[in-house]
Amino acid sequence: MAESPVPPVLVPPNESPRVVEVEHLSKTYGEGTPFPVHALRDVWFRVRQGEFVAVMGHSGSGKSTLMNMLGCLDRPTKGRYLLNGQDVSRKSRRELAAVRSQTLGFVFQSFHLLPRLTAMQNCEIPLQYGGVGRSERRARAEEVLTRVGLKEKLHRRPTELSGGQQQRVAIARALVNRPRLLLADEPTGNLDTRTGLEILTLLQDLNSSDGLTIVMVTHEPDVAACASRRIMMRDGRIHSDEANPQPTNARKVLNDFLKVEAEREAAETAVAGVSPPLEGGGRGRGQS
Amino acid sequence: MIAVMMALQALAANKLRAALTILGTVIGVGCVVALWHIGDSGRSYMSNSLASIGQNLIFISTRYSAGEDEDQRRFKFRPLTLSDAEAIKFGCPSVKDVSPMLFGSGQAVNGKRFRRTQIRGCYASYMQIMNYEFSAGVSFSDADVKSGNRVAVLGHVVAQELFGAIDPIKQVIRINQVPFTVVGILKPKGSFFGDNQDDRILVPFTSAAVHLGFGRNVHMMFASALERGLIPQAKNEIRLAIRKSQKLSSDRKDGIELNDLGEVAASVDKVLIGITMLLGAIGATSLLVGGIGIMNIMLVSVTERTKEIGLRVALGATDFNVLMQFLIEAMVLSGLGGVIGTIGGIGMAAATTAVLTMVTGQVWPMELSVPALVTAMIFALAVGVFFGFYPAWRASRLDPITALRHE
Repeated sequence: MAESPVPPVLVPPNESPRVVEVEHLSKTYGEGTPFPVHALRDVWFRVRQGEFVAVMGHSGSGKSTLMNMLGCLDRPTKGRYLLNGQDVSRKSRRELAAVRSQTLGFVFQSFHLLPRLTAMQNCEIPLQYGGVGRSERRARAEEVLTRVGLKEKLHRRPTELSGGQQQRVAIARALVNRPRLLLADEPTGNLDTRTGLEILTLLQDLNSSDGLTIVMVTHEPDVAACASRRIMMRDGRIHSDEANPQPTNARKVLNDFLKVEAEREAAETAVAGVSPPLEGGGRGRGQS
Repeated sequence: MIAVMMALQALAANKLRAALTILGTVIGVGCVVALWHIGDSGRSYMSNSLASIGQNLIFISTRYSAGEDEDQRRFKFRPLTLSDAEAIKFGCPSVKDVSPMLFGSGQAVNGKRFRRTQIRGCYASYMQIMNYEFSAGVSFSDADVKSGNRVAVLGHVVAQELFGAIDPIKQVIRINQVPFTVVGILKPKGSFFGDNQDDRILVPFTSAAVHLGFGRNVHMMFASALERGLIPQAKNEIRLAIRKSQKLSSDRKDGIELNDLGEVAASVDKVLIGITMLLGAIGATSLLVGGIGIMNIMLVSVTERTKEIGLRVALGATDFNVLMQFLIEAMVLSGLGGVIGTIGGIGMAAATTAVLTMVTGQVWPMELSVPALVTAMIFALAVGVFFGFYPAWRASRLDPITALRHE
């Protein structure tokens, strides 16, 4: 794990194609009732190919609604959403399903793996709905699982995997249909510090090496600091939208963290006969 | 295929629940399959039985002996007599043969061996009417009947019982103490609706009347029509001949009853239809209850797997994909029930026909009926589609956002 001299995330040039174009996007729940909820109000922003965007905000700020909108799981009340140059805001349920299976990848806070299926089978689901043949499904599932470092765990079920490994499977599943946009909803929210850093390292690597466009929702500033751009939502509006000139290098932080942990462990074992004190922060749990 | 595998995996996660769910379908399909096979078996049993005795048979009786109904007291129906038999013999062109009958029972004895059996007094023509064949000896003759000779034709069972390996021909047996000479042995014929046709002794009508004291009135007459199609005509002729012989004026009622095997078959058919309807009703009820059970469990399953549905939709499943996933699961459930029910039903039918064969002493054939199996499976799958549709439709209409958040 040598420290990489290249920047941890891409900063694509302005002329890069736009993956996401959102214009005047509004979502109102309970329209026509005495107390309509304006989840999104006139949101306007763009995401260029290769960007790593973090969307932040408190609960109720509209960030979840925005993610659902970007994920084609919901349709706006007003405004336009161009995904990959295609207007998806007026498509039918059936067409949206096709868009999801062909251009989007989802990563969730609680992984959402199907417990009965192996890692491979979980990764094959999007391909099944995309109508990909059996042998190609297997090849691609194996390929993405290898990409996220789970070559040895292809046939394990989720219960036989650690939390970090499960989230890797989920990321592999999101990558398997070669999406133009990866949507990650609090991907580290259920993970301890170390495993969370490992997942962020993986996401940064997917962005910088493979050029994957990522939009990630998080409420942790440390996590958001790993992105190349930060959007802050408040009351259904974009409160701030600024580039991050110096994104955190997750791999470097991880290495430092491991070093500190190792030193602390050494110090503890040096005190003979004294049992190690209880520590927060999750030492060496889970992820190999 | 993938969908079926997926459904099996989902069901395997809840084996006991799946087993209980399909119980109704199993019983329903089992009933349908069993009743179908038993019905088939009954029909072939019946046609075998009918074939074992003459197809063109007509039974002639009067209500004379029936007793006390009002008609009888008013009109004083006459009993059948030998002169009626003669009248039929010579006055009915569509009738081939006729034989008056006396029924009785008695103890047949040969030395130390004996058997209690049915005795029938009849004409020699009875042998032709009933398609009897002889394994040894011959029939008694018309002359024997005329002179009231004490000769006897033994049924297969009686001959076995009284003589074993010894040749019974020309041997003398005693029937109710009266000596009779054996002249013929009938070939085995099997049962006719539970009546063992091999367990009887046939003697000349006159001998039965005089020597065995069965009385002079004819109990019943058996006649055969020239061919099957002439049975109705033969019946008319017989009625007219008897009325003429009894000198009944045209406004007098007679007590004559004429039956043929078509009517016997029809009455047996009624019983079979009754059994079929009963089993069918049980089957239909079970399928209905089973179907509701499947619907119930599928609704539970949809609720339990709301998150999975949301996830699948997020990963690109269309409404149709989700609908099919749950519909196929319901069909796999009911199809499984269908397969198990079919096997059980065949077992039930085999056991039933085996018992009936033992009870009636004649084979109830058991053959696999392909249409029955196909129908049963179609029914089972139809139950799955019908009762699985609503839960599957509900699943397909779930909002993915709410579904994903569902805990």
